[in-house]
Amino acid sequence: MSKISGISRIPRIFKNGIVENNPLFVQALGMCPALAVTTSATNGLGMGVATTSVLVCSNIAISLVARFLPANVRIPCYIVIIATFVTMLEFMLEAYMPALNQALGIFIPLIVVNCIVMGRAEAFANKNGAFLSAFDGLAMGLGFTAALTVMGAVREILGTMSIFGITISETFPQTIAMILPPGAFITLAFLMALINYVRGRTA
Amino acid sequence: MKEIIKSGTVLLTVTVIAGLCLGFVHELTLEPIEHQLQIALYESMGAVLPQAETYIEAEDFILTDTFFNLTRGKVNDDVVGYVVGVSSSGYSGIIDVLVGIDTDGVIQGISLLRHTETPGLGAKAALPEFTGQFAGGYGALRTTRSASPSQNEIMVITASTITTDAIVLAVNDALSFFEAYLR
Amino acid sequence: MELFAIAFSAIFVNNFLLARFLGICPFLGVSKKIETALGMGIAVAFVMTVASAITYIVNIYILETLGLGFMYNIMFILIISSFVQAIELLLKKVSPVLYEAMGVYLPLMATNCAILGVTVLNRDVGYNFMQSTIHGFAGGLGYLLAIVVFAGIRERIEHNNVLPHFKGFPIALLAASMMAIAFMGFSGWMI
Repeated sequence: MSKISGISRIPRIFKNGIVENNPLFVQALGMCPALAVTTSATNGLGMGVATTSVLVCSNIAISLVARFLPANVRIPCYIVIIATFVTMLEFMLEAYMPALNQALGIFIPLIVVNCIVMGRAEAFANKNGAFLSAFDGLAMGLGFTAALTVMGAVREILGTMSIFGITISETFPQTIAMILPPGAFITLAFLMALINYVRGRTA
Repeated sequence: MKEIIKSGTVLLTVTVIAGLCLGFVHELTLEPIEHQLQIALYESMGAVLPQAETYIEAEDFILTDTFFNLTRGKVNDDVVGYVVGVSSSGYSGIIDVLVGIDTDGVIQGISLLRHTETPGLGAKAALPEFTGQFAGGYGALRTTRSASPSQNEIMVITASTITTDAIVLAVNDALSFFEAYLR
Repeated sequence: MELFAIAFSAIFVNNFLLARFLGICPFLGVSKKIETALGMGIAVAFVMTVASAITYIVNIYILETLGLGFMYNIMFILIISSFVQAIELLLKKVSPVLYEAMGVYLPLMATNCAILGVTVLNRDVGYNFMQSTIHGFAGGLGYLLAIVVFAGIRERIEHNNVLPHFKGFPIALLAASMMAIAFMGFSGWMI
């Protein structure tokens, strides 16, 4: 029986995670943090990196123990594993990156219910080895991070005429509403419509 | 039945192992987290009462929701001033203000610890352009729309009078508190 | 009365859906018809209330007393998912009518960030038992209100001429943004 070499699957895994099956824009997962913390590009990037770290760690851990878990209790076990990594992340951020911790607030502990993390555990990590699962987590995480950073950038530019904290223009009018709740919905709506347009053309 | 016991044991084992790992990380980060809180405290205290070297929370006063902090600023063992934390209702929520007052009752500086005012409008109150106006004030402050306010007048932020009033109210509360208990 | 202030704030000023962005996934997924939205909203309100109560008790009397406060996230989510599964089984047996109405949404509650969110908030803010439970209940009511109104709007625009790429989620998100603007009118209201 021939097996496709693990390494050769990696490019497809990345393409899948970042473009074809982008967790936010295509699968519509992880919308809560996407709407809430993308008030600036830096916050979006921070949230994306935080989620990616949990995703990679949990994918690896779950792929390693999946075979030992009875089917009927596997989901609660995944939950415990994911929640552990999330809380570890929470402590690390509190200790070493307090500014980011403040900015992301309650959405750090809520990473545990981010459907992306549980979704990849069920869809990939429990069927594949640790090596590939790590890359799948990385790919999905990168896709999510890119989406969040783009959202954050759009909102920050329109809302405060700055990007990553650097002011672009002092005179061009700022649409404050973009960094308030309505702006989140509007930005995601237009970005999703844009992705629909792009995918509609290539489909 | 046997299946349930097996499932339960697996879940329990996973939870215990997870708990142990987490407990380890928790222990590891306890000190750095405490350190961060100290840094934040000293930064916020130092911003409003720069002349002090150490800041000691006052144990002899009962704190309330409105007066949430009282700290003595000391150089060696002499009290050089106080930092009073006062809350008031702003436009869209509570504003927590730290007021640094020296032993003569003169404001050394203020800063906003926590607020949820509208970015671009009331949130401008957190900027030094606004908070800097308070230094040197004493007694009781007033708001004014004049572009050249006198010592005890605070220029209102355009379109954010509620926010401005709330902060001035908090500062006046701190000053009254000083007059009543600390002078 | 302070509890009323907490409730009012949770329903209108800091609406869990439109201001805090908690519970968005089911919000967009289940709100195409008013009946389903009603079922989902009631399920959320119910679980939020009971979860707030149970997690408070577990946190204060078990975790904190044993010095295991750092396990809060793991314990809270385990409690929520087991509770949700238990209630679903119970409903199936005891009241098929009620199960049809809102029981089918219960499995979705486990990953609803509004539920874990309110329990974490209760812990962060340090509410006592009554405050936590009222906060959970009111938050759920606010969620129910938002999701039912939203479903009403979506039913209305169902047959409208929407730009092809905006069909589905994008137009729903734009409708939600209008609701968010409306609810911003409550900001600053304090009792």
